[in-house]
Amino acid sequence: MTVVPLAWVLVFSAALFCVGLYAVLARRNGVTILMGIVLMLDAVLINLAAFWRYGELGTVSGQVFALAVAFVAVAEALVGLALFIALWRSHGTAVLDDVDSLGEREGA
Amino acid sequence: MGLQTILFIVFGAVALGAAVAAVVLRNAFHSALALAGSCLGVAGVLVSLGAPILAGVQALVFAGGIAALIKFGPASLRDMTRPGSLGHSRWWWMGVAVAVALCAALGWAAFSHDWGLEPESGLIPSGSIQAMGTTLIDPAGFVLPFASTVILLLVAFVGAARLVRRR
Repeated sequence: MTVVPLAWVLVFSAALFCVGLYAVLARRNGVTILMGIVLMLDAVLINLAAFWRYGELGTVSGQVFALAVAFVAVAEALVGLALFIALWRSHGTAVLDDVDSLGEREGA
Repeated sequence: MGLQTILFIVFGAVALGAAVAAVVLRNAFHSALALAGSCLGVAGVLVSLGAPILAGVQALVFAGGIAALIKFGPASLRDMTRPGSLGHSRWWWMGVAVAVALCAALGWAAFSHDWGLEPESGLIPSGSIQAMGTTLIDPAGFVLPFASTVILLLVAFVGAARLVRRR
């Protein structure tokens, strides 16, 4: 049975990473930026799985690393969303361009 | 074309298309739905790579957990579905340029380098699921990193709950 060349998988994960990168660079809304970061972590996970599949099939290290990436992604999403909800409460917005002070907004 | 190639192309296309939709759509709720679709597509790609455990984790944790968290958390806030506060920055074309340039550079690197790695044929490498299960709870294996990630998750949960608490 033929298998997909490794380069295809790498290009796919690079494309996914760059879609996430665009969201981080160009979206104004904090939650959408968080989604971009989730996409980037997804791409990392695919890369780890691909190099495990094509190089280190005898061991499970690659899969364990990918599992760790998944857990870190959950932790990141949790804390990030909590931050944006807190931000929405104190500033009334989650558009990062409008958030330019670390303290409570005056008069809010 | 083998089954693995077909799986990879179909699910890869789904994942990439849904990812672009998640990034481009203006409504944060719709974006979160597309993100869940993209994560499911990635789970399919992981199946085609012969990593069914990772695919299950991906489907449950990313598509089920994170996407649901975004949908029922901040995406349902009034601000998140109001057009106007949501668009792309004025310099969005710069983001496109950087993303396309990086993707081209990475693609060139992936194709020009001779990786010299020949995969074992077959869809799922035999015995890898069992090996993964035993290694995760083996004191000589990965039990310490595994337990550390559990503690990391606990800290993240408590911290998130503390952050969203009303004063």
